[in-house]
Amino acid sequence: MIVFKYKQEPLGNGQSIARPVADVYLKTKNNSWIEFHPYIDSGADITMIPLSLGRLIGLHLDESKVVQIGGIRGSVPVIYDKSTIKIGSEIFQARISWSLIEDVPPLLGRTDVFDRFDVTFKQRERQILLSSHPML
Amino acid sequence: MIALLLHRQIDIYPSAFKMQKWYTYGAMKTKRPSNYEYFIKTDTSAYKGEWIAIAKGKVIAHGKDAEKVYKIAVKKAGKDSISLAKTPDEQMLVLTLLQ
Repeated sequence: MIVFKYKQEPLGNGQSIARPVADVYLKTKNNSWIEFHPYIDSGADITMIPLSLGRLIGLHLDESKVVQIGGIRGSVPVIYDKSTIKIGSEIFQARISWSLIEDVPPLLGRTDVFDRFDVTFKQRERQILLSSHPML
Repeated sequence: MIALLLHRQIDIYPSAFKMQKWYTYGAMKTKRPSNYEYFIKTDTSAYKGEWIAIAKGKVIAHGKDAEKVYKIAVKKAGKDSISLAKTPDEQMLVLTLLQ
């Protein structure tokens, strides 16, 4: 069982809110690992990384692969790709969306990740539990 | 004799257990938190809207570009001990509480 936690963050109006944060490793094209801390977003269809993080792991911009995906704040140009991800001791391939703008948060979304883990949000306890699916 | 041994075991093991716990606690207290633990517990709002690189229990680099921040961090702390996080500004997240 992997246990992640909530981070208390200011809202800018004097208040703060707890947000679920993961500890995730992305494999670069040079076969090294980059550790980063995305929000765990059960409402995101797919994991999303900002522009500069995609460049860091060695993704290359191919204009013909750019698509727009929608969010509440409007659409974001992305390129879909696959990346090797490590969460806890589990290493697996996951589809990701590489945002071609920087001003998006890194998100750990459902595709391939929530298929692999049963994810339980225990907000009162400020914990998110990930248990590997027994079939995997 | 058996009773005496049992008595000694009961007497000795709790103390040893307590001592082990004490040492474990001592070790945990002095152990540096992981980059993840540090990020969870630390107020990073001073770096609003920026990437931060964390290593050895502190923020060692920050800026708008993850690639640049990471490269600076590697020079300071080596490749294996760094993690990256993006600190939100108020506008960054899609759904925000208004009250």
